[in-house]
Amino acid sequence: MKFSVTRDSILKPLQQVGGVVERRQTLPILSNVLLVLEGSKLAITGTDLEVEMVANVNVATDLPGTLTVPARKLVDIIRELPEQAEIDFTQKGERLEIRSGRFKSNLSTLPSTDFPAVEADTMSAPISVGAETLKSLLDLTSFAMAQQDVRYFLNGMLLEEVEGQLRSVATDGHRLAMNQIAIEPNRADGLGQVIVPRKGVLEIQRLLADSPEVVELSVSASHLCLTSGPFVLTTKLVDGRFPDYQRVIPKDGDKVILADKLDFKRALNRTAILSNEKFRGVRIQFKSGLLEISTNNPEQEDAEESLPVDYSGPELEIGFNVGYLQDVLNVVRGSQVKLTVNDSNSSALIEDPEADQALYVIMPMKL
Amino acid sequence: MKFELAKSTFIEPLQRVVNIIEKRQTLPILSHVLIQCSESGLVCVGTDQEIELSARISADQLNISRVGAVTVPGRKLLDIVRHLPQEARITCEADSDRFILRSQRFESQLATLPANEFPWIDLAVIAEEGVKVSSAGLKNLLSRTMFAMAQQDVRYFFNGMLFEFESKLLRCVATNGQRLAIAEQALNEEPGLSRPILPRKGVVELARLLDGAGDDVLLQFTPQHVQVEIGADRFVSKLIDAEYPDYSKAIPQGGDRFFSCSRSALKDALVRTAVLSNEVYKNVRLSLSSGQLEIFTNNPQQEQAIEQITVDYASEPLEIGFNIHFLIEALSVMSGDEVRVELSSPSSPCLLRDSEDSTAQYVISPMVL
Repeated sequence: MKFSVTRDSILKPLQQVGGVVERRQTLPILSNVLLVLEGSKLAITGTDLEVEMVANVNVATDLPGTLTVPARKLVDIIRELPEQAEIDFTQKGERLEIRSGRFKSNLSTLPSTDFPAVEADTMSAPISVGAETLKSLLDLTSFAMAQQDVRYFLNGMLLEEVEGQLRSVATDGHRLAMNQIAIEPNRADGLGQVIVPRKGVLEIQRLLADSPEVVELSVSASHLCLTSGPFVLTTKLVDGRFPDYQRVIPKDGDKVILADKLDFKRALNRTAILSNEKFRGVRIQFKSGLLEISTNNPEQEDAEESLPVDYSGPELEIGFNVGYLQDVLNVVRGSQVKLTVNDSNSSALIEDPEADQALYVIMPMKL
Repeated sequence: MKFELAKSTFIEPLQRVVNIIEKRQTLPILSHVLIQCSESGLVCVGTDQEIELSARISADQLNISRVGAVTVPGRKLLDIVRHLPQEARITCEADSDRFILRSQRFESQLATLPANEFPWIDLAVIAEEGVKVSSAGLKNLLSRTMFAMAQQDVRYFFNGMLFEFESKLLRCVATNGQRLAIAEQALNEEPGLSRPILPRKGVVELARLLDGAGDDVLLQFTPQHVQVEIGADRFVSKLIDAEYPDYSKAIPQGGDRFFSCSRSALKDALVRTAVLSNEVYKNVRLSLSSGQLEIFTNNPQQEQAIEQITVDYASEPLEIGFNIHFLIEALSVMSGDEVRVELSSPSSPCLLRDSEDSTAQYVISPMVL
């Protein structure tokens, strides 16, 4: 293998791929990236056995070849070279020599045949989605995914194609977030219903933060694949049944409050400081034209704040985990939120009245 | 106690004081800040029993209805104040066992502990006049040398910084036994002082407090403490009770081999080659020959990196090993474009000098490769 490339054209792809590589792993080769050089294309691959990222870079090729080298060291060296530096890579036996100006280094390699590849299966025909739109689909819901829950199917996000809409649902059993976007209609095969694991979702969000306008999405029975410019991200899917989320969404709420999002969020931020550090309970009282927020903790400290809102129903008191409310208010984009409840024992529904796609469900808490 | 003031007046002093408080502590009152309200204004105090900071807000910046003193949980108070609107006005009221903070439609009540239980650092009477130093000058002294202090060394005096006063001069010295940093600052006066050693935490906090400070600061010493007046703040730190070793012997004299080169070129080359140095020993080999310096690292995985840079070396060839991070750290705190490196033999320390600051000296012991 022998090729040349400028620092600036290879650094970003390498960093993006290096992000997938876990710091600690069981197999030494998982800390390496695979370099495959064919024609004028260098494909850089990193994997953690669940998520795989490939970046394609144009290079000046002298001799094709393939090998694996330590990801972090490679990124560190390239990053520390001067901007616009011309870098020469040459395989020398079991080493990869990197030369630039008067700098020269040799990195250890491992055979590319040992590098774990994603098992190939038939992907659906790709659909094109606006990167911004897809990102908002995930950004508005990913916070509600569970973490290391024994119900492993909750440690991820459901993506489901329903009537020309792509819907995302995430829940940890205490709260749920759902959003949807319009996608290309009239395709032969739909995306169906898949659960993307937590790490896959986070890596997709990271990739979309820096994507061209349109990306391509396809699925197979066991994988989801996202193509964004020179990057191809493939994540395994979670093999499980996602709970029937429709059942969780309350439909009979008759007490509706419209509140200013920023005022509500800031009042919660202040009162949350004196909530119980373990249970994080906050008491919310609906009064005519007023929302009263109060907290207290075992140290006998307490806080309260009232917020003028648009409400004219009967008085009602309901408790929540304040963190769940804060998480929702952090992602809602409009200037107002709509909070719908039925009674103190049933879940609350939160919506953004200006963008009616996303909705959030939070279970109440006994105080 | 009852007073009213603007959030913008309260937040910064409170932030500085809460910074001093340790996140975890053994005594509950150490997580509290003392709030003293008197006719002359408000004083907020935080301590970890090694360092202490009192921030003062003068009476003309707040409305006092009732004087008094109380302690409240520092971090919670700061969090509440921080989350109030920018233009908010805050009313605080306390009696024997309650502290109430109100702002518009927000009201909170915080747990209190009695002010007379607050563990002030027991400061002896300050005898001397003290020394005035420009705050920028002192900040500069600390930031050029503090990286060289030891951390949790059994030679406990190394976990701190020596303040050495000489005729119209303040010299700061820090070392961990393997590398040493010295910088000097001229003074307008000639204080007759001993050689106090500030503990690591005191140095780090002092450097932080000096960040936004203007004008001169006043340093005053007792046998066990230093007190620093920084604007409206009063900072106190215990001193390390020890005799600092005679560091002058560690500074190599008459290194007959030397070179100068671009500081950034040397630093960048070291940072690149450091990627492949031994992760445990962090060693680097420098090979000097006429007009050239070769930097070489390798590791047990048989990986290696080499870079040559042009230097004006004209003596006999020399090969010498160092901890690569000691070199990088010294080069990082310098400000000049050029660095001068003086050496004598593979087993003697090297001396680095900054072209911008003739008083700063960095000594690094060699490593056997």
